[in-house]
Amino acid sequence: MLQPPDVSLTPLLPVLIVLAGAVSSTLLGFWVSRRILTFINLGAVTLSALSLGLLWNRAASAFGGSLQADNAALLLAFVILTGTLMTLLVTLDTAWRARVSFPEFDAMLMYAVTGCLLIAFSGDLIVMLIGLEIMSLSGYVLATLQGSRRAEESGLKYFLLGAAGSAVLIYGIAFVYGATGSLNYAAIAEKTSVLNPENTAILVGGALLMLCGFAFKVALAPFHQWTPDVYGGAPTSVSLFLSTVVKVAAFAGMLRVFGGALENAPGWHSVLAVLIAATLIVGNLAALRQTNFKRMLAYSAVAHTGFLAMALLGTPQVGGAALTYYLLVYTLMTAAALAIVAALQRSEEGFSLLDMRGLYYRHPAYAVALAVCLASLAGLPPFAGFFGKYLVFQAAYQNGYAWISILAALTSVAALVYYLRPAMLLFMPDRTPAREYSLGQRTPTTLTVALGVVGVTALGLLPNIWYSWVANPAIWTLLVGR
Amino acid sequence: MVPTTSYLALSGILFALGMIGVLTRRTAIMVFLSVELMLNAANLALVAFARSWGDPTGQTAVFIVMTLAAAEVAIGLAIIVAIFRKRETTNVDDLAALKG
Repeated sequence: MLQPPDVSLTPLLPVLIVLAGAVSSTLLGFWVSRRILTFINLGAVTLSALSLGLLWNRAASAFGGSLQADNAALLLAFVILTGTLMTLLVTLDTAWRARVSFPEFDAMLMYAVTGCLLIAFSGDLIVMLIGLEIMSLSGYVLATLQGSRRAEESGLKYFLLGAAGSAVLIYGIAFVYGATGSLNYAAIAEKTSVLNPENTAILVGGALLMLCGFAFKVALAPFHQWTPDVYGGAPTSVSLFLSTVVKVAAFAGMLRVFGGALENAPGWHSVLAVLIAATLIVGNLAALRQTNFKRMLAYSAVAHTGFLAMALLGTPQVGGAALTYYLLVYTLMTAAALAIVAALQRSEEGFSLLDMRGLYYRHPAYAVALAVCLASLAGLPPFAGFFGKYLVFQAAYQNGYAWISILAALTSVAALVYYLRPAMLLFMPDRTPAREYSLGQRTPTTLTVALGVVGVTALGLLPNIWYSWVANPAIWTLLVGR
Repeated sequence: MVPTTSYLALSGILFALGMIGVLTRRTAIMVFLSVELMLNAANLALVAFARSWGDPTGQTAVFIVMTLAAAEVAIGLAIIVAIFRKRETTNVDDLAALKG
């Protein structure tokens, strides 16, 4: 007896709206300028964010559970769309200077966001894989699109290592399928709750391979080597996109798979803990000796991967809330800091730390904003970075990973040095001529910076604005969907 | 009937060969070919597991992985060609402008 297929497009609405933006950029690109397309895409992103509200608390699913529009997916999608909005605003006035101002740029960006959303909405390893590949393949193109020697080098490195990471991930998926006989998150979680000793070895192997594949995508050490080269070599607006939206989406996938489907699988917790320890040490120490600010932010992104991944060591109920809270804060502060770099840099290499000396006397608003972002990245109390760090430390600590929390606290102290050194340089008097691009202060970038700074400050003073949305443990117990 | 473990052994050997290729080869094309070998190892494992479970889901997954691999070829070769046009080499060791 054939069942009618469970096709319902309503839960897909946020993804479809973004996809419509991507397709219209592809087609309309022949006739209209990129600026108009960017405005269309800004509209599409806003509409998609509004449609998230429509689906809130409905726990809709489609395609036999392969697609889950539960509250967890909607919250993660909100973070992804916030990052996209900030990226689009920044590209509105920096893309022409980066020589990537053609319609293809917008089309690729929106396809990547479609993939990102698909990961957040996935209820099935294959849907997750498709989303991840759409995101990664568009990301490789975005990194290379500028056509300069630096961008091409970063694109090839990103592509070769990203493709190898995907292959490891797919091999992991094959083994998880072999151990459980299913690709659906809910079915995998059900099968792994009662361990069959014959299949345990295959399951552990699959989980570890998937962990390595995801480690490539989110840049956990020792799989992080591409990160500084790609974020440093790609145009700054692309680095902004890759270090916020793409990373958020990869973490969404990790949360779905490891917090949901493979939660009961043995073995991966301790390996993840070791990877996190390596990431915290490598990321923070390497950032200490950077002289280029953009490259320093790339290493800071690696270090933050370590902090973010700590949430996965907690129980999903605590860890999911902590991760989603921190992801939004991370997106706001990283996007604002990179937006300032994109606006003020002379070339796409960003600027060196010494060039930032006395920035306060030339661009007071940007300098103060940058100082706020750096303080928040360092995790200083009045700003939201502090609360985010507190939540992930707590999540790991409660689940018995006290040593990771202590290590993270120690490396945060080292992080203070490299975040506060540029922050102090900003306010030092300087008599040499300005070394930054003086016409960079334009309305869309300023809007992004304002969004980031206001967001980070507001979420720091009143964390409940966002935390009350994510705090409900019921959201995170059903990560596998029903 | 060939037992599933034999297929898995072959798939493991293919995957290991691919991994060794990614780590040791210095030409972008060869690294890329090695990645394709790893993907096909995963496909073989998927098909073998699908047969042992008597479940077609794994086989459909293989088609999706093949499509992904084809898309990856399109984009990967485009990037490699773009680099070759400018530098007349695809040796990954020559790409060392970004470091630190």
